[in-house]
Amino acid sequence: MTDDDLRARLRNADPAAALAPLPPERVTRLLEESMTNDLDPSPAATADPAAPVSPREAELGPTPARLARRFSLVAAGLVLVVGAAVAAGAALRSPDDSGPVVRPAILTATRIVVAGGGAAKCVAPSAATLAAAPLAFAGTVERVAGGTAVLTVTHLYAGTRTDVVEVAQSDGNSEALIGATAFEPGRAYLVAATDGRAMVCGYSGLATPELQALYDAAF
Amino acid sequence: MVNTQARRARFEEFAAPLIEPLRRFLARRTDPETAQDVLSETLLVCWRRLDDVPDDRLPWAYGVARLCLANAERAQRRQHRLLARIRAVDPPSDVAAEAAEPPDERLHIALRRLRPMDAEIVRLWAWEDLGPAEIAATTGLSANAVSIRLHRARGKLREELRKLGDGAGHDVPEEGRRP
Repeated sequence: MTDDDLRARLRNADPAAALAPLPPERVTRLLEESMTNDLDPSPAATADPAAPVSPREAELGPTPARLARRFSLVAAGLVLVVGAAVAAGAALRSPDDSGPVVRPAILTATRIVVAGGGAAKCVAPSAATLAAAPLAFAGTVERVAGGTAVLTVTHLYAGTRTDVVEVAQSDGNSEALIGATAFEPGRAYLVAATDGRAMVCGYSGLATPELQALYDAAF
Repeated sequence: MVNTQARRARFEEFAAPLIEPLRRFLARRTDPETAQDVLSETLLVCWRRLDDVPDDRLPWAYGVARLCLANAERAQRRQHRLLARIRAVDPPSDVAAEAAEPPDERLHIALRRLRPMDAEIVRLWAWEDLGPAEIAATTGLSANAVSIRLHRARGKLREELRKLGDGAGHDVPEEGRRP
């Protein structure tokens, strides 16, 4: 079977083959809804008044070159963990916690991982690379248990809204990757991640003025 | 507001031609209800990010839809997990799994046996008719990586089709692997 044959066969099995086009009035309405559901088009706008942060959803559009660079930074030994678990509030936060992020009902949690042996070759971190990160946030470590640090998100620079990010530190060697200190409860960190993996090489770590400056430049 | 009007006009001009390709993209990957929600979400992101849109807008828009769909599916899985916890007995069935099986079931089975990203690259190549550079813009991989993976994925797809008894008739294989 040649490539052309294969493609022809796939096309014959296209699940969208029978999809009828939308009537023009539906198209108009769809477009109108997109514009009116979001009256403030600035990047900081959020359609959800309950949102504690400014989600910049779908941080798309980085050029392949930028992406390639980004991937090369995190390539060595970092493992993917599928994101997003949920927990009813109490599980992840003490009842008397009234941190800056107050959300009703369901708490969303994202899970990322730091892994590997620190073999990544680092170049100096750049704001442009950081700006392409699908997830970037400022957070405070709530607790560290079983090799997982639970951070409450205090500000989301990029990514889908999430209240809590769990960072799994496999091998307990996040120290080398994240920075001078591993996650300590009560301290503030800036963390960026791509594909469920924390970006290392100077992109994630304690919220030092230097790192904060990089985030401010990127977002 | 002149600016707002201009922006609205720009968005309409930008987004109207994208709607049909995006609808087909989503119809190929999820159930009709989710597709509708994700289309709205995708258009909202396009509206917000209108100033960031690259020249080659369709692969970019597919990329937006891809992420929005991934978010929606995560939310669905979350919901299912919560429901499963609440109603431990008789949990809700998966909507997508109940959707009518498309034609050439053997091909769809073979596709599902590829690694998810490889299958996605094959779909983008065959169904969305994208070249490696465009697939790269959609998936965030490099064009070079896409070329290599596409080549391998096609080979693997042929191999899986063979394993499924392709060419030996049109009967649908039984569940599981052939001996």
